[in-house]
Amino acid sequence: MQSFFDLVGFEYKKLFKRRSTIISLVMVLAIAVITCITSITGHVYWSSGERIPLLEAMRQDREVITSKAGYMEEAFIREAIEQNAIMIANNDNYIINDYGKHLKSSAYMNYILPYEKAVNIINIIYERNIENLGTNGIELFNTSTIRPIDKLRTEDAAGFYEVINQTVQNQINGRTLLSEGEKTKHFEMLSRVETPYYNDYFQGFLTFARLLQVVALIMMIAMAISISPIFSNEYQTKMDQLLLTSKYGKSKAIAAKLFTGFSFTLALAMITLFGLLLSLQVLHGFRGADVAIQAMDVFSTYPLTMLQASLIAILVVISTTLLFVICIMLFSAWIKSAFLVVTMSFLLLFMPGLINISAKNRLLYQLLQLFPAKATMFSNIFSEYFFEIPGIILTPPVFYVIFSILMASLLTPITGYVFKSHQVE
Amino acid sequence: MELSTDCLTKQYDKKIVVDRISMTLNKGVYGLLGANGAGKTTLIRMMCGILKPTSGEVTFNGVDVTHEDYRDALGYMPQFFGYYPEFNAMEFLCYMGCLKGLTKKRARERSKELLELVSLTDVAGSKIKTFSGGMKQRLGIAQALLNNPKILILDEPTAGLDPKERVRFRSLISQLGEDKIVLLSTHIVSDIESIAANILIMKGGRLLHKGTLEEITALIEGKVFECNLDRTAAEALISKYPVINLRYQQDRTLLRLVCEEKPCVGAVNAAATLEDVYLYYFSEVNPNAKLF
Repeated sequence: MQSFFDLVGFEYKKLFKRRSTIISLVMVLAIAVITCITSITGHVYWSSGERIPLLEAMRQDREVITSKAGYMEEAFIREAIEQNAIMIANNDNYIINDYGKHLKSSAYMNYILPYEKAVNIINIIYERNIENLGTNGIELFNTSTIRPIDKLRTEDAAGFYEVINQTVQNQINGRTLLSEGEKTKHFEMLSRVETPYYNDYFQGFLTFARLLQVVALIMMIAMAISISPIFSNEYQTKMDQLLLTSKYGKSKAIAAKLFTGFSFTLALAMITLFGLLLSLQVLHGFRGADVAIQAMDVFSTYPLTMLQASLIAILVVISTTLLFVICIMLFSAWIKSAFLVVTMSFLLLFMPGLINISAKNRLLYQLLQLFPAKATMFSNIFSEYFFEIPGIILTPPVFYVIFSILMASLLTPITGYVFKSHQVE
Repeated sequence: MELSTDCLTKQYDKKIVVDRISMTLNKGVYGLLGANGAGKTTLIRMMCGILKPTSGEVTFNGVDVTHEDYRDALGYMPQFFGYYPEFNAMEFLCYMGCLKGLTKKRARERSKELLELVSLTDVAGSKIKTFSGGMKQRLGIAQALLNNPKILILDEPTAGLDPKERVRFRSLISQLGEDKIVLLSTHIVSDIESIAANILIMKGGRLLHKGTLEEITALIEGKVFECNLDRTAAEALISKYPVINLRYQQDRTLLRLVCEEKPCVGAVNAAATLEDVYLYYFSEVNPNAKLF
């Protein structure tokens, strides 16, 4: 066993002696830092109407929303309806001109912002206008039309979660692209969604969900560049002859290479993704872990909090990355040119992102979802479309992880075999 | 200790590169002699397990070439020696040592010994990419010896070595041959002549002859002639027979050539050398050959 880890040590030495590895790692780090910096620099018009630094706006947002942190129970919903009613009753809260009636920023800040999530959910759930639903019903600054919350009475707060449940069930039933099995699974999941929802500031998790795909793809570019030479470099430097004639050249050396590829990937993916999540939490004040995923998308049936959803998304991205890396290693053992391996890896990474297939063609649609460009999207990870295997229905996160593990288990020995049976001619 | 090949054949499409070679090698130094394209490297690659034969097998003490125990007994230095440019000599040898089953500590000790043996101690910490061709060659020899192999296969090992290094290398190989099977492939006849107790001659993928230096040179005994001729007569002979040596002396030409019968009046029989054998088998007669 010691000899195996000695060989792993040498593989790491080879990896880090390559300039391409260092450059790609620096690139990931630089992009991560730039992403974090740009997400807190600059100025914005805050709800109060004044132009303030973004960091300050985030702090003030957090302050207002966290002042009402807690479970969105009946009293909270009633308060939200009440505050909205007070706001719309007073014309001083509006700027009225030839173009219509516009809510003042200060009014929004006072009456809506503390209850923002509840108001958003109400406006979606009670919306009967399908077109407005298409835009999630969130156009709070435009009050020229009557919003669903404007028509609610405080007594309606009592049935808030029943209405949500019923509306979501109606939505599921109305989805023609969902199979009966999927609908049943959705209902089962919906029954496990905990109510009342928890209200808190969760911008850190929202930003994480938004950045996940971009960061994951950049990380995979770095991996493609770093891992591509793992086998092909042996051919290019003509070291294959020495390697394959040595005692461990066809056994432990190959295992050490594969282990190095996987462990490097795992370490880099964990550092990058947990680093991203952690740094966003630092920036946004470690809040929102208990907020239900429904605060992001009220029609989601996943019974998860934002923290759970983020950790599951990380697990999915890591398993997808491991599968991507074994593909790179297979290309590397097979193609023999690091440049071609990188080219093929980039095609594998980006080509599927350019293709769009409707869920009507379910098989093709789901095959496409297995590629990194799709499987790393937060919305795809928690998609409404499930994977149906005869007799069993798996949600995307479960399927992605199982699929990645199975495929990696299949491709790993094939990769080893391809290198082992290489003929020096 | 017995390294055997049995009907070893390699064929690419219709071209047979190695043709049914069967041989048994025991302790000692074997020189594999053949012109470029004779099939030496292909034969060696099959004997090292990095090229699958079309048919036939290679075994060492009954262990198949594909087995780890075979590789454990093998030391190989390929014709074109690969390396990691960013590694230094010590790192490279330690890595190779680990690949050959040595512990990290033992690999380090052995690397130090071998770097000294091949006179690279002073540059042990230098990157291999800064090495000259000869230094790389010596490093290649060192890596082949790391696991104290029972079978040592060296493909063109002296290419790039200066005369002094070559002499050192020859004596090293001679010593190694005492307890190992050493197969030395080259087309540098003098290397084989001075160290190989057994000589294998390959041509067109086939093993033409196998034997000691005396047995091999006996093949052309009485067929080597030396003659002193004028230009016209010399030109007539060089277009007819393989010329081993040619020297001008004023208006005369001294020729050493191989032929079945006395080529001209005044030709004197000379003792055959390995170089004569080589040229007898591998040089081609040019019917239009002229003297300069």
